[in-house]
Amino acid sequence: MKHATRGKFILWGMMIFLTFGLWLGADSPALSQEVRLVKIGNSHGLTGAVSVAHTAYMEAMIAYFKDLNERGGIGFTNPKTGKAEKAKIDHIWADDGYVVSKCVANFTRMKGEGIVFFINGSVGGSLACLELSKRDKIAQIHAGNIKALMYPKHKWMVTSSAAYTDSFGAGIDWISKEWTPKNLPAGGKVRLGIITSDTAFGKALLEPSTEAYMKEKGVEYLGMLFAGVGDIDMTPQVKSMVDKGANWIACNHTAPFASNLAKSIGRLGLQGKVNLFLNQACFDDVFIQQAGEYAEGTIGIGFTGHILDSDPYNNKMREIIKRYYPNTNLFYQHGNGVNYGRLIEAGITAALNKFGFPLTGENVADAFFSADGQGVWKSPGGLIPGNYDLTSNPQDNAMLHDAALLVAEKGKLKVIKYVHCPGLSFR
Amino acid sequence: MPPCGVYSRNYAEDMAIVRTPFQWGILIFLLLLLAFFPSFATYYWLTLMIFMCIFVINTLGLHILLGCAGQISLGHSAFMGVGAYTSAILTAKAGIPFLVALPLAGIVTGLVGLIFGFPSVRVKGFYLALVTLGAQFILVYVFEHLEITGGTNGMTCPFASIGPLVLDTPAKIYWLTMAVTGVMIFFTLNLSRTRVGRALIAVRDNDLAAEVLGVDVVYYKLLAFFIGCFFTGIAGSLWAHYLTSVHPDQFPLYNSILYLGAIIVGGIGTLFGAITGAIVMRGFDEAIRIATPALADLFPTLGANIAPAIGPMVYGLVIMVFLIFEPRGLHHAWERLKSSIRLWPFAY
Repeated sequence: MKHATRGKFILWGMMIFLTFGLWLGADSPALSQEVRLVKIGNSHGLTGAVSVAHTAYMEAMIAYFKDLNERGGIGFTNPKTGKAEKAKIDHIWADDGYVVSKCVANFTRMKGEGIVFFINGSVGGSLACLELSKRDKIAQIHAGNIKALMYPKHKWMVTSSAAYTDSFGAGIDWISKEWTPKNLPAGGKVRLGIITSDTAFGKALLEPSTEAYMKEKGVEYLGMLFAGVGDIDMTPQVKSMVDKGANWIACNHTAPFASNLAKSIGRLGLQGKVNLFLNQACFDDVFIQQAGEYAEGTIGIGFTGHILDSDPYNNKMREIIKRYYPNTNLFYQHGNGVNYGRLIEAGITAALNKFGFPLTGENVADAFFSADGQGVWKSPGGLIPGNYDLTSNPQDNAMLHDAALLVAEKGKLKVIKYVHCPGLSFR
Repeated sequence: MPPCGVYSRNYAEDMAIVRTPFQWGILIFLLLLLAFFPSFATYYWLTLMIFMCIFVINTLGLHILLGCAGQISLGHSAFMGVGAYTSAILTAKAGIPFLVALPLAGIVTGLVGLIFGFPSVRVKGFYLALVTLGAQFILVYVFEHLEITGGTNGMTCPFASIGPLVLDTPAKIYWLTMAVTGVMIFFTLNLSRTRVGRALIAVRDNDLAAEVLGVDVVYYKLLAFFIGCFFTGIAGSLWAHYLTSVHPDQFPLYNSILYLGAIIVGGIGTLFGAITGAIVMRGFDEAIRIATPALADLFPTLGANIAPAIGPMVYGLVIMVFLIFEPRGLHHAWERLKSSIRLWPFAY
């Protein structure tokens, strides 16, 4: 091909690609006057380090909102007219590859498209969008249950579960009160070390209040060692902890990281001798699958209910997701995506009932943080136990819901008991 | 190549950047369009332009370093972080006005770049790339572990302000970034026309021959690192005061590779290439992000992450295609297109 022709070919090819891409995205169906659309934005890492979990969240949320729209949308009573009306969710979603700059770009683009609420999948992205949320008055639900995002509470940041420190605190409670008397001689100490990644997410379970709490409960804290997010072999870190006298190792990361840690403990022949505690982000069936035999006996915090459980609600959710994504393998994180969908539906419903249509970002933020005591998120059973009442009170006990303390036994997660998460994040 | 009939009668005309009335007309039209852009642009387009300007300033810095001086850098994202943190710390903690913090951020980043540029005196090519890759990881580690930077929680900083005027809306931030970008483009354009610029190009083309000719290679290599990182520090400062928050996760290795990709696609060694590459790569980013939900709807059985995965694949493919078929980048393709139009209907 001649030089000039090749250059023209490349230039034209690029222009066609860009035009096609913009046309595909810009082409939206014509709206009838009766269709009320409430736009929400969603940015998750569908590619990159956390794509395993985030793809599941996204598939579940897309399926949830599509199903909701097909059933007619959200029913509400217009406060101005008193009439029953319907509004559909316009779910605008995008991949950010777990890269902060892309997450911010998604937020600003979606803000330009008129969203009234934003679902943010990354810790770094949530931190970056924290100020933007306040400035642009668009509340967001975020993935990072870290102190900087959760406290002090304000209406622009919404969270659906306890902080990582709080759930870790529940684990400390149980270890010191119920595990120690059975497994250590009188006066014997729990010696706990943490192996995690050197990121905001990985270090989120430890704050000064947590260290003080461990001391209060008689747990000797041996320090924190880091492993790379993609590290397969963590035996040096495990050995180092064991040399310090650790009888418990805690971790706060994703299931693949936790499974590599469990395998490293197993390879050193320490399974059963050193106990592994996994915090809420990583103790799921992906961990069980990937850790295999090395998962046996692992203890951790999780949330009850599983998308694969056989009960009417979960059966329905599975059917909905499979309708749109027939080839997807359902696992625990799909349930989390359904949770998000249900929580947001409840929040938007509350906002529509309170303010009518059209909604603004401020309306939605106010609705999520309604202090009327009714709570926004009521559990229909199955996935989340208990009710939530998100108020602006930083010491709101309703926020500190019960979580399940689980053990991995014979390839399954079994509930030991329900534990209450202590409010360590705002001590 | 100037159009037929355009010739220089004196040195000033020969050195002029804008030579014909038509070119003046285009330039004035473009400046007016950019100046009045906020009056008709949506929020989304304004923020896209702000990101674009910051990206362009970054690629200009990399253009001076790689395009002019031939020194590769895989740490430009981290250098941007240095500028962002410096500006944030100076404004939020030391109370220094933004107009002072902005150039200081550039100077501090330049000095940091100088430290990591010292190995360039001894090594080049692949080995220098590894050194700057080290800079990327070292600097991010430092951001995550210093108390003054807020560690892994990051830090917040105020909006940019010029005297009593606080730049807290997208339109105001757009004018600031556009003005700074204009100044940086002007500076870069003139740098390559000065003695310093010619020395950098001589070092790039053949550092041994340049040394033999009397060019102080060590001095100019370090100067390239300083100037290149100065630009990046400015971009970092603008980034911090736009987002009003800085966090280590904002400066990953992926962004460093993206800047390099922009230079390759645009054309290494040309200012026009650096700007076009930045615009095209950012444009690709947006087009892919906009198109993927629609693609996912077209092929739902593939799942939610197949369509987004097309993005990184397209990036890689674009860079590979350009390296193989158009190694001199878009700038060269554009020059050939212009020549063929001017010569039409003749082939040469």
